[in-house]
Order: sequence, then C-alpha cells, then structure tokens
Amino acid sequence: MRRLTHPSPGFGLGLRPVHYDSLLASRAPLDWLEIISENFMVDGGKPMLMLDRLRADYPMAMHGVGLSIGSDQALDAGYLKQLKTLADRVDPLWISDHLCWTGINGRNSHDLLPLPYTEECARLLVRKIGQVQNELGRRLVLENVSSYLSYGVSETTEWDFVRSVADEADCLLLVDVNNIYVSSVNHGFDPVAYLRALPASRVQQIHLAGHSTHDDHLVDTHDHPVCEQVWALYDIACALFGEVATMIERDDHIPALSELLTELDRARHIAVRAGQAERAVA
Amino acid sequence: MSALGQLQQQFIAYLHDRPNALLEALADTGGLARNERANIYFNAYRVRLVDALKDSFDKTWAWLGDEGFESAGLGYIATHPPAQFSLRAFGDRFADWLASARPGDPELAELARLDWALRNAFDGADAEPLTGASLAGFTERDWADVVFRPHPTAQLLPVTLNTVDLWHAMDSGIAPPDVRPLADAGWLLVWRKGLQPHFRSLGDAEAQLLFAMQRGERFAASCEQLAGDMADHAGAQSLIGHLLARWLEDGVLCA
Repeated sequence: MRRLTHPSPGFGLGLRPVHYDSLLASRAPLDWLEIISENFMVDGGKPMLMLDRLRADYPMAMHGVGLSIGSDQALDAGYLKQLKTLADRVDPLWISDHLCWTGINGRNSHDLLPLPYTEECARLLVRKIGQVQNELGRRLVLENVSSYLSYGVSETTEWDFVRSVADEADCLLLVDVNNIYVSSVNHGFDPVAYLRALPASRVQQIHLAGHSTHDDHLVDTHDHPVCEQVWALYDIACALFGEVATMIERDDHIPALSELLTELDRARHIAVRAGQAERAVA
Repeated sequence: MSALGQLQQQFIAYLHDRPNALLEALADTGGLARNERANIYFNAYRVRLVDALKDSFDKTWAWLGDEGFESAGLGYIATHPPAQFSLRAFGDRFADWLASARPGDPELAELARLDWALRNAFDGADAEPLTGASLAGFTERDWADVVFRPHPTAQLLPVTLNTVDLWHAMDSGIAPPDVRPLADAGWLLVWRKGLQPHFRSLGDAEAQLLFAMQRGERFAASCEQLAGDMADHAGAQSLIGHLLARWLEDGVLCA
C-alpha cells in the first residue's frame, strides 16, 4: 500500500484551555496536540500567547469546525483567509475539518450536520475540496461525523460515500472511531464493515472519544471516557490502517491531564500490539 | 436551486422552528421515529447556543439564574439566529436585544454590555503598553504634538445603574444589592492589562479625554478643551497629571 499521508507523529490530545497550566508546567508524554482552529481565530490575548508557547513544545494539527464543505454554496473566502493566516502561524502537521455542512444562506447551525449520500452531493464535495486544497496548497483531512438521522434520497452507504469522495477528491481522512460507533448504533449498521471500506492509504488520523447513552440512541458528547466497544473498534482500525496518528477528544467533564494521558496509554498499547501482530503475519 | 440546497434550507427552517418539510425528506431506519431523530438536532442547536451565551455572559447568567437566562437566551436565538462561522461572535447583539426586549430591567443590558466588553478585552488585539520611561525625554514640542492611542482592547461603556456593585457581589459569590440608579450617570473603562481583562468607573473628564484619544486627537488639544470646560486650569492640570500617571501604570495607553 502506498501511503498518501504524512508519517504518523504518534499519540496526542486535543488542546483544551483547562490543561494550559499543566502543559506549560512540564513536558507531557505527548507527541502532538490538536487545536480547534476557530478557537485561535481571535486577535490576541491569552489564547494566542498560549498557542505560541505550546507550539514551541509540541507539533500541532489544526482541526476546524467551520469550513462547512458540504453546504450548497460557495466557500467562505473570509474563513479560508483566516484559516491560512493561522496555518502560517502554526505550521501545522495537517489541516482537518468535517465531511458535513453547518449552514446555508447566511444561517449557521454551529452543528456538524449530516449530508445526503447522493451523486449530486459527491460532485459538490469533490469540487469544493479541490478548491480548498488549491487554496491551502496541501491535501485536506476530512472527518466522518456522527449522525442521528438519514435522508430518503441517499443512494449509497455512508462508508462507500466517504471512500469514493476521498478517492475522487484526493483528500485524506480523519477516522473518528467513536462517531462510527455512535452512528452504527443510531442507524443499525455494522461498524466493522464501515472501517473495512475505508481507503487505508488515506487515513491520516484517528479520533477516540466518549459519548452519552440514552434509552434508544447514543449522542456524541465527548464527555465520557472511551467505551469498551470503541476500544475494540480501534484495535480493528489499527490492524486495518497500520500506524496512524491517534488522539483522544474530550470537550465536557474534562478530567486532569494525567487522567487523559493514562487513557491515551491504552491507545498506545493497542497500537503496539496491532503492529506486532502485523509484523508476525508478514 | 439544487435538491441539496433545498434540503439544507428545509433543515435550517426546521432548526429555526419555521414551516418546513424536513421530516418528509428523512428515511425510516428503525428505532427512533423521524421526528425524534430530527428533534435531537433541534434541541442540540438551542443547547449549544445557550451554552455559548453562558460562556460569554457569565454575570448576566448569574443575575438571571439558569431558568431566566435560558429563557432570555432562547428569545435572542429566535430573533438573532447565528449568521457567522464563529460561535465566539454569536453574543454580539445580546445586550442590545435585552435592552429592547426587557425595558423594565435595564440592569440586564448594562451587565451584558460589561460581560461582552470583558470578553472582547480577553482576546482582543495585542499592543505594547506605553510606560512612564518612554515619556521621560519628551520635549515641550513632543507634548504639543503627541497623539496617544488607547490600548486596542480599551472600551468605554455608559452606566446609569449600580451595575459595578452587582458585578462585584456576584463575582464574590455574595448576595447582590438591589438595583438602583447612580446619582450621576458615568462611564466604565474596560481593557486588558497583561492577559487579564480589567474594568473601573470613570468620571466625565477622564471619559472625555479617552474618547478624544479614540478619535485620534492631539493630547494637548483635548487637555486644553478640558481645562476650558472646567474653568479651573490648575485643577485641570493636576487631574490630567494624575490620570496620565494612572493610565501608564494600568497599561491603558500604547505607543
């Protein structure tokens, strides 16, 4: 398999303000950090100072929530300009966002809304991903989102749609294993079939996270530790994709950094074991 | 318009609780019904936006309590649905909305303006503050020509109520006093010193000088204007000297 991705920098965490002090106090056993791009599209003050200080210690990936690549409208030139300005400052490992839409015609949901899996939508995505990649001068990394509904017009499965858009647009993928698990429960599909369908050569990064459980569905809240079912899927993902940069996202009920580092150690162990198994087979 | 565009407009109309045909466009996949599935997004939209407002308006939230703030937040969301990619910008008209939607509770808009100004000071542009040392060599000519710039995070807010007392009480976790009007309406200066947003009350004279600076006027000219207004040249000079020392100490001016 000829990889199209950057070599994996290893294991990281999503940078959150509650951990600024711990990260500045001593070098944590982290290979890289992921920043939410929009949190640093501000003029100055503490966010930008912390960004510069921590960037001096850690490689960083930029992860956006505002690109809205799947909206049936032109890209937001002002947003792209701010994204490029931030990329010039951070010199990121890569730049990611989500395979979704967030708003249209001047209205923003501030949510990562699901797309219909249609040919029309695939054409729009391929065209707009190409525009973004031209603007940024690099391949864009796109993440699968969790979803709670699906559309009658969809012509194919989510995983076939993701694979064909990624291949045609020549972009990279951020595989959120928790999102696949959440959606598999909410829509009743096989998460392993989803993982197997993805093009391994394009998987740049893996997200792990927790979710909340309701009576008859799961919600992608990032407020719990990673669950056992997601760890089991991560094990399979490691076997399928090889060495891939992996990190844990936590956005609510955020524990001490040490607790997340312990959780991240489990990812390291799973990945090492999968690597050993792969070499033994080879 | 494309089928995708129409679907997306229906979805946004659903989130905004306007007439729409979103449910007809959804698939039945077992488990949750279509309306229950769509409702997850309907609720998440409101929860996310109210949370964003809580993050930006913590004292307004403390003053109104959870229920009161959520009710105000939902009113604002309904009339000012977010239009920008940045959630950070969403509260930019909340104080004005409170002023018009709740005219009987004028402290709400004053508290919200203060919360928003502190938020803007937190991540506003950086600038090197001017120090006393940088003025040490000023000649008479320099003083005649100098145009001081307020720090880019400096904002002047009008106050007519004891909003500052309410803010400090809530910040200390003690019971806030009753709302009462100030004997003389005044101003608040909000700015960032180092990494920390600050605010303090100002008299008219200080506010007048800072407004003149924001307009880019020569400092000497605004001092002359103030001295003329006060009709007490010695008093004006003493006040200006005191204010200048305080601004330099507080990092309110920049080069």
